[in-house]
Amino acid sequence: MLPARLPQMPEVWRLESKPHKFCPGCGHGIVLKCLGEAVEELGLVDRTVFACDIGCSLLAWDFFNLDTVQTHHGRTLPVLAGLKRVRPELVVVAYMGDGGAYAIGAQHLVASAGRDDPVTVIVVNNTVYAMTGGQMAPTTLPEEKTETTPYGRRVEENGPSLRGPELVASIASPGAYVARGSVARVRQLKGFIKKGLRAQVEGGHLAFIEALSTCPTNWRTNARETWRFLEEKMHKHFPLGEYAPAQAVREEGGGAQPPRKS
Amino acid sequence: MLNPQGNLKIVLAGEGGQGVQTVAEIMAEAAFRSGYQALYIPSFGVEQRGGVSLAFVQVGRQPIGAPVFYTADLVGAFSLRAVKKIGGYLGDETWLFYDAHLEEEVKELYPSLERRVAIPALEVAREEMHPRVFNVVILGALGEATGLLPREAVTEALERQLGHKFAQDPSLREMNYRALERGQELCRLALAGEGAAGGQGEVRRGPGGERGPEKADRGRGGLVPGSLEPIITEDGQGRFYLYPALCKGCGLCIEKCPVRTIGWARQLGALGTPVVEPGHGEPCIACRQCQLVCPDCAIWIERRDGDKP
Repeated sequence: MLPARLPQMPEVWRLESKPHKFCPGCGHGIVLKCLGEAVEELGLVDRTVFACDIGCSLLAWDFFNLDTVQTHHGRTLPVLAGLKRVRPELVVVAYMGDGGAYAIGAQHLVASAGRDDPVTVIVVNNTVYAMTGGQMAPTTLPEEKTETTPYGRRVEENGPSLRGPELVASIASPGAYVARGSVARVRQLKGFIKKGLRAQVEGGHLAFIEALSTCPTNWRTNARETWRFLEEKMHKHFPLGEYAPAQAVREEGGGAQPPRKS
Repeated sequence: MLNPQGNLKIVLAGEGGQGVQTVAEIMAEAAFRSGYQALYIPSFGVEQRGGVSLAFVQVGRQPIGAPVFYTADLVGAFSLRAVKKIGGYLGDETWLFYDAHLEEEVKELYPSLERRVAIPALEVAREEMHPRVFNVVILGALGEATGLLPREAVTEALERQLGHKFAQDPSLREMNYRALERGQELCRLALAGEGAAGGQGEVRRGPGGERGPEKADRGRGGLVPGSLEPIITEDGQGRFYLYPALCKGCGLCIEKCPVRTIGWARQLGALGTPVVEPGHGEPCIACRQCQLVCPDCAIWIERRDGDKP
């Protein structure tokens, strides 16, 4: 008989807290696997601080063998921005859901992006408020059925769904890194997260990565329908790829910068 | 058998995802459709799945005042953690129904309880049908145990609750109906064997039931060394390592497999749901898509030729 082997999970994953608390089929596990591997491959394990927000993302509070802090409603960002100012040698990762980052805590995201805080932000977008039972979030797709939009989200009433990376890219400073990946493209997502960590460590800039993710529990989908919703509907509405900060584009193009007062 | 004063009070407990809420809802629906007063309320933690999930059901002729109560007439517990949790709802007159694989734990925890009935639901579902219909077997058994719910009403409520799934795959309807009938039979058998309710609920094994419960069946009791043993299957070019203690049975890998070799296994995993295994389609090409998308790191693929990818 072959010798028993331990599961091949990133070493930075905390084995005692596994199986983790996320639902079966939840994309959080895949994003956190990418993050764990990225942190390990860049050799940052000893100086990384992980911070999770409220919502399902907080279920990662004991996920890693890393110093971890949990805050509420998007305050993950200002907390980490403060931490980074006091201890600039640390690598800080803010891990949030779309509810925490775009709805309840949007002002912190906007302020951090404007200040270009050297923080790596990972926002997991599953189009619903998952922990509270699947209510409509800013990112809910048009016509998508949720607990609070039983007939589908109506754009004329609730507005179109919010696109986070586009928002951040439009206010981020030159040098900031903005991208959108998906748990259906695991290798690409891991690459984005690695670049995001580098942007913070090497460039001292904000890095913002949105990861499109799954929520079979609240979508009420089986595995096939879960992938279909993610890959057919979400990928179409939220284009994957890297987004150049608009400020950089404007500077390169000259003009468009407001005149400075002397 | 159950004929309490006033309304019948039922508590069901299991792992999140095992399906006790569905059972409770169907029971309440069936009771309501049969002209009874009926109320069902769920109780579980912040995790939508993966914790112990409790369901409170009341059925009877009297108007129902409050959704929660302290002593139940009938308690169903279907995982180790559930058995530990329901102690507070047991009174001298309470009937405790539990899955047969929990026999030892129930005896140990509640030695003085007289009215306990073991139902080999998990084993019957796994051996005769599919582990996923475990909760429908339970539904059959408990519906029968109440002595109040007409079988047609239960069937009708089952149809209302799961009809949309049956519409997608009609073979599921037949399997669920069979599970329901088997549950009713198991209950009758168990109660007949009970005789004077000596507490020896020993009508345990259905036909073909020699296999003892595997470790992973016993719910999630934290990761003890040894429970991380993988199941190793060779298929095509790959050696498929599956860790039942980690696999939550989400099925993401099944859909991502380009040769569709992955399918459901009979073995149960971390949440009491089936794990996956290769060997259901074309031979494995060791592409590691399944390993890549597994949110729980429950799969690891080794190439049989030893080459690194």
